[in-house]
Amino acid sequence: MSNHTGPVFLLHWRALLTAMLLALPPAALPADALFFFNPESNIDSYATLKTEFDAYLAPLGAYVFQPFNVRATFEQALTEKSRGVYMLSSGHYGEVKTRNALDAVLVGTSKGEFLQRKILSAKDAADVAALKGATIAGTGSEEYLKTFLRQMLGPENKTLVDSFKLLSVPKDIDALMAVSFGMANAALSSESSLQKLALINPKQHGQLKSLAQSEKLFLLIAAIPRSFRQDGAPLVKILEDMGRQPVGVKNLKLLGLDGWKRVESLETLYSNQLLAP
Amino acid sequence: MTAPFATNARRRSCSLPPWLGLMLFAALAAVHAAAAFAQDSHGKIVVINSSRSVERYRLAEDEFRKQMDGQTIVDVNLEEASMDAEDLRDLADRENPDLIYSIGSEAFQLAGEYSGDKPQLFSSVINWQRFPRHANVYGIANELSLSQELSLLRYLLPKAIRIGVIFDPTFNRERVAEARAYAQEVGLTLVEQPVENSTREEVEDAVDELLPQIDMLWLISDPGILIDRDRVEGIFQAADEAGKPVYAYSDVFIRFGASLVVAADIPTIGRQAATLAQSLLHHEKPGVAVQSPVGSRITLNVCHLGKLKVGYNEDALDSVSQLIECR
Repeated sequence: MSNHTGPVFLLHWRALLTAMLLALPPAALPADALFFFNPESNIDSYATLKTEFDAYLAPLGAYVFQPFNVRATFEQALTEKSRGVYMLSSGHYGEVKTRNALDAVLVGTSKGEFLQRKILSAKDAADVAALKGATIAGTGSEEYLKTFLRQMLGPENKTLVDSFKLLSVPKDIDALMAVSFGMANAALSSESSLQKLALINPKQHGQLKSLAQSEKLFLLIAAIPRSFRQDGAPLVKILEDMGRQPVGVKNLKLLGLDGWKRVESLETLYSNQLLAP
Repeated sequence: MTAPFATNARRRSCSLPPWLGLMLFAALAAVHAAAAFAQDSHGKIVVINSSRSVERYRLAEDEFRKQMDGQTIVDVNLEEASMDAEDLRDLADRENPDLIYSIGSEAFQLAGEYSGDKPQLFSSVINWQRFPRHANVYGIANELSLSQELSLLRYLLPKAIRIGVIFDPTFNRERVAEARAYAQEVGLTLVEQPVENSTREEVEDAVDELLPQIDMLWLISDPGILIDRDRVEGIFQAADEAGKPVYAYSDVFIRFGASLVVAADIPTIGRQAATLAQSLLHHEKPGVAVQSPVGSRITLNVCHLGKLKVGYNEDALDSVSQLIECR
C-alpha cells in the first residue's frame, strides 16, 4: 500500500465545517477578514476554501478567510461593520449596499468575462410551458431557486414556477447531468457550465435546449464598507493580485474565477450599475 | 411486542385536540394554498431509519424532512427500538401512512418483509439489488451511475483516456456494458478486466496485467473484487508501483491512496427522495423506479496527482468539494 505522509485529510469534514462556520462570531474575529457568502456555492467546499485561502493569506498579514453558509450571519458581520472585504453575489450586493454603506471595489472575472447569464435548459420540452409540474435541478436552496426562477420567467409564469419540484444539487454540472440522465426535466445553470458540458460530452450538450435565460449578471463582487475603505486597501490589493499569482489563481478557480477587475476600470454603464446608490 | 416508536412519538405533530387541529389545518391550508403542489399537507409518511447515529443516514433523513416540511412524519429509529415486520404492520394499520420511507439496509429489509400495500421508498441501501423488490417500491440508489462517474472523470482528469476497470461479471456485467457504451460517448476507452469468483492472487494478477495498458485504474463498487482490506491494499499498492492514479467511488479510498473520488452527495439523496415522495403522494408514477443519485461530492488529491505527474483540469476546481494538498 502506498503511504502518503504529506496530504492533510479531513476525516470528519462535516463536523469540522460546522465548527468552523459556527465557532467564530464576526465580532470575535482576530484579524481583518475576507468574508464570503454565495447561496449557489457548495457548502461542502467551504473547508477546502478556508484552508486554501488562509494558507495564501497567512504570509501576507493578519488576514483570515471566513465563509458563511447562512445569509443572516454574513449580514450580521456587515451590520456590525466587521473589518474586512465582503465577497457576495451582485444581486445580494444590490440589496445590502445602501443600508450598509458598502462599495463594490472588484468584480470577479473568468476567461476575461465579468458577466454571465443563467440558462434554463431541458431535454424533452419545447418551451417553458411544457415544464408544468416538472423537476428542475439547480444550485442553491429551494427558496433561492424559486425566487430566481420567478424573476427570470416573470410574473406571467408565477403559477408555472409554483408547480415546479425544485431539486437542489451541489453544483451546476450535477444539475445538467441530472437532465441528461433523466433524473430531472430541466436545469438552471450558468452559461459557462453549459460550455463545460459541451467539452465533456458534446452529444449530451446537443440534446439540451435552452428554454429561457436571465439577464446578464456580474460574477462575484468584492465590496468594502466605506468606513474601512482606507484601512482595507491592502487587503483589496492582495485579493486583486491573486489573479496574477499561480497559487492565487488556483484559489480563485475554487470560486469559479481566475481574476478580478477594478470596478472603476469597467465601462461607465457597468460601474454605474454597481456604484449608483 | 416492544414499543419501538415511543421515543419517536415526540417528533410527531398529531397530539392536538381535534378542534384545534382542524383550525390549524384550515389556517395552514390558506397560507400554503399557492404552494399546494410542492408542499402538499395531506401526506403522512412513516420514516424508518436504520440508525440515526450513522451520519449518512441522519443527513439523508434531515434533508428529506426539511424538504417535506408540512407533512406528518412518523419517525422510527431502529437503533433505539427493535421492530419486526409484525410491529411495522401494526404501525401501518394504526397510522395509515401514504408512504413508507426506509433509510439504510436494515430498514429496507424490514419494509420488504412487511410488504404491505403502501408505496415504499428507500435510500442509502448498499447493493439494493440483493433484496427482493416489489412493484410499489421506489428508491434512490446508493452510488452514482457509472455514466456520471465517467463524465466527471473526463471533466476532472481530461488527459486520462484509457481507463482500466476490474470487475466480477456476476455483479457488474450490465453496469460495465453500459459504461462501455457511455465511455465512447465521452471519448474514453474502457479497458475491461473481468475476474469471476476470484482469489486474491487472481485479482492481483489481473491488476498487474491491466495496469500497463491504462492511464488510470477505476475502482467500481464490486463485492466480488473488493472483498476485504487486504485486496484493496493490494490493488492500490500495485497501482502506486506502476505510477497509475486510482479513481474510486467513496472517500474511504482516499486513505488507501485514491487520486480522485467521486461519490454520491448524501444530502442530495435525501432531497431527491423527497422529490420522489412528492410525486408518489400525488399518485404520479415515477419514470424510473430506482433513480441514481444526481448530486456528487468530489475529492481531488492534488498532492498524489503531483507525485504521479498527472495533470488535472483547473477549470473544474469550482466543482471540487475537498482538495487534498501536500502540506
